[in-house]
Amino acid sequence: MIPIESESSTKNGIKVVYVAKENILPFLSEKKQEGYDTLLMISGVDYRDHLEVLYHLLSSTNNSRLIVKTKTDGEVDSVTSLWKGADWHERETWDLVGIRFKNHPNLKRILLAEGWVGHPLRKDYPMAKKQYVNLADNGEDTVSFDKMEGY
Amino acid sequence: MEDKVIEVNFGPQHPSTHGVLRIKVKLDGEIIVDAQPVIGYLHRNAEKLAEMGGYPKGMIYIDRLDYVAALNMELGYVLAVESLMDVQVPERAQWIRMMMVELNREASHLIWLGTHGLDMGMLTPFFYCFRERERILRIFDEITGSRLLYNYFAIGGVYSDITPKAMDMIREWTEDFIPKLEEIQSILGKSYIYVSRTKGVGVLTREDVLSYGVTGPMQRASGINRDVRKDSPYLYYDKINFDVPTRTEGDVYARFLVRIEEMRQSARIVRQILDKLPAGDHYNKKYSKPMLVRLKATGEAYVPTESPKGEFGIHLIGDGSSIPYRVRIRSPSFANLSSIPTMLKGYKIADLTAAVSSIDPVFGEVDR
Amino acid sequence: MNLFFFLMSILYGIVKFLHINFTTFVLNGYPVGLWVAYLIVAVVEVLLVFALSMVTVIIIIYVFRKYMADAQNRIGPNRVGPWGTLQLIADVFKLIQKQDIIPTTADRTAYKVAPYIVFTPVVLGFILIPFGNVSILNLMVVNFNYTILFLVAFMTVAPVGEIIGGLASHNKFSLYGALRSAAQDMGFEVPMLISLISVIVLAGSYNANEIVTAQKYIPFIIPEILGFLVFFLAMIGRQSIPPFDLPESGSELVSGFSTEYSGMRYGIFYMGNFGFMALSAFVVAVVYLGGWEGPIFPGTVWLIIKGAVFIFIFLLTWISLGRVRIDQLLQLGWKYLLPLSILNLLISAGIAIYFGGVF
Repeated sequence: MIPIESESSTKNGIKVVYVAKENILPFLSEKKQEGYDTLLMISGVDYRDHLEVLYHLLSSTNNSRLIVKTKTDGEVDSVTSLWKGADWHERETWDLVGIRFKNHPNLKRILLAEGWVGHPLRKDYPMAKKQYVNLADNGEDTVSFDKMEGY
Repeated sequence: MEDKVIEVNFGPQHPSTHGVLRIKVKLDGEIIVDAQPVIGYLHRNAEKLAEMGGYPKGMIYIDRLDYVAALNMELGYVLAVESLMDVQVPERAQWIRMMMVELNREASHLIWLGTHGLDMGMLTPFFYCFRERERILRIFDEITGSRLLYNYFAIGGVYSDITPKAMDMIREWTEDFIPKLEEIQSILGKSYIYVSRTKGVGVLTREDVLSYGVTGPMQRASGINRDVRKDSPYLYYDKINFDVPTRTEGDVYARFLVRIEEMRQSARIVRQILDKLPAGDHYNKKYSKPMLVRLKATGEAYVPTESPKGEFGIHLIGDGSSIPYRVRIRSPSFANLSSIPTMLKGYKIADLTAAVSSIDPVFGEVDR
Repeated sequence: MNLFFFLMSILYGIVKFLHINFTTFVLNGYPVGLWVAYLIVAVVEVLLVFALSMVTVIIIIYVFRKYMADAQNRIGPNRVGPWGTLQLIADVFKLIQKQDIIPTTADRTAYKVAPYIVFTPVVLGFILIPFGNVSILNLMVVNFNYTILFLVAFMTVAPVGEIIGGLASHNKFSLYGALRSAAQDMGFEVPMLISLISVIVLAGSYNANEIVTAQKYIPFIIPEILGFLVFFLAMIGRQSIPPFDLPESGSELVSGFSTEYSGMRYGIFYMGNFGFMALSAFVVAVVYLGGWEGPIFPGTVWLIIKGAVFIFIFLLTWISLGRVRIDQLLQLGWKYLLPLSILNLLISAGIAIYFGGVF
């Protein structure tokens, strides 16, 4: 039994559980054993002083939902060993929020182009800064700061 | 060509990628050795955009997620905002919402059916599907004033009431639709070529579905009977009779049958709502327009809804200001699409289009 | 430039085909003026057939568009000319105006030649179709003893252009289209030839006109219903129209072998395909439905009616069926059509032995 730090619930009554970030992988695998067999999504929230990772779980047997949260400073264990679907969600969280997932097989940007500077969903992301995406010779996207580069 | 494997890029400009999906496929002759989807070509970062304006303003970005089922997207957002702020919604508004969402589910599935036929090399069903969808869009035009992106659901109700003319149009549509659907289904489902090309293709087992977090019709085609409308009813789905179609094969043909049956059930729901639609206000007067910009909220809410593609939910976190602190979108197509490598390995090129179109990805939603 | 090349290939075909008559005339000591006159007549005839085939193609494309539109709740072409009849002409003018884009990595010569390899044999094939009773009026431009073999040879050459075009484009989708085209042609060519051989066995001649006259009382579709089905399916397959449109397969391989083609070169592919459709409809009508044989109406009318029926069936399959997969297609060709055609050959050999004189 992995200890939980605190417990609350969302406004519409879904249970929210805080877990220490070291315990996230054992806790989730324990929950998977208990019947929460679907990982709906992984999301990251930037609270300015710390980052939080959210795991939305759903049980297909007794139809209950659970949101697992963990506070982190930017690195969490990957749960791709438990759910294959976690792969893309973790890549997206790395891409947009900048949370690094340890032991992830392929932690690259997924929505933005490789080489993008910054993580847009961080609250301190400079919105005025412009970055341009071009097509490199090898067919992949590259990022540049000069509008005319690649034309 | 020393090693027999050829790498081919399917997309982002390709006729059967439903937008801007790019799949890096490694081919050994006609057989797919490996398929890796690449996404992000339609990325606007709707989450960030929605975090930059007030609560009502986020709607216009949510609308553009799944642009063929915009009302379903709006519903997810509206329900999340309302549950975050404890907004009371009049009964009539809820029923109207339910009807509109089901109509839009039909429209979305019709687009899927048409483009799926197109991907299987049939041009004709496409036109029949779009003819039927056109009638639904005319109903939407009559009610909301728009054909594709509606911005119709408002916090506390719906933007405008249903006119008697629109009621007649919907009633007429419910009577006509089922025979037309039978006709379209027979073009595909009774064709030996179609059935032999889709049976046993793109199979996702129950374990794959759970592991990838696949939801919606794809999940129900793989033998998991889960529908948010039944399991945790929102709106008044608990007062309505409908069945959740389930198949166990998990292949493209099963998904086809599940979606067709879902369309029948949606028509059935619309018919029931027409009889039950109560009189009353169509929005909560407390949340009239000048009030909306000053809405403030704290706490968080995650409301799951059943969009045509699967479980769509919005996780809202408020910090007490009039701007949402975090808007997190669970998009069903994103999770469904991540199962492509498993679905395609070992099949042929022709199965790629069949399997990808059976996911029904819409890239406004995948890339957000 | 394109047109010049096209006319050159036509003339080349004429000279090649009149060779037999040519030598006959010279060897038998006819005066020079006579065989020059004969050559001029032949050229005119060939040009007439060219015009005829073009008109057929235009009519088929128009009917196809209108019929498909009607089946799909659309109107179809309705702007250019009365009821949109001149739409194809307008399309051709538009395509001619378009820039001819050739990929830098493509094999330029092969890329340029490929559309004509599809189109020229199709037009030349019309030379060999007996359009009417030869004994009354010579409506068969070239009449010699091996017409049906040459017809088949032309129909075999046409898909080679697709393969060349696909390989020359230097595009992976085109490459796959070309490979599929090659596999498909081989799969259907063999059963097609074998079922044609059984017709030749029954008719006792390689001459298309004699095959028609052999069907004066009973068309070959009755004793050879099996062979007819095989031949007809193989014909649909050879034309690469749905459900066997694998070389193009719009939704899988973008546009298959013609992915990189644009402008008039694409247009020539397009017209070549419809010309092939017309040619194969006429061939089926000649070989199995008795060609121009028929009561009351003149022979030409009968041939056109019979050909139109088959074109209609081709269009119907196009509109209503989806695309098969490559393995299903090859299975159909090698596992079902080939044994059936061999069985049919045995049956017709038996018929020829027992009822020798009747057919």
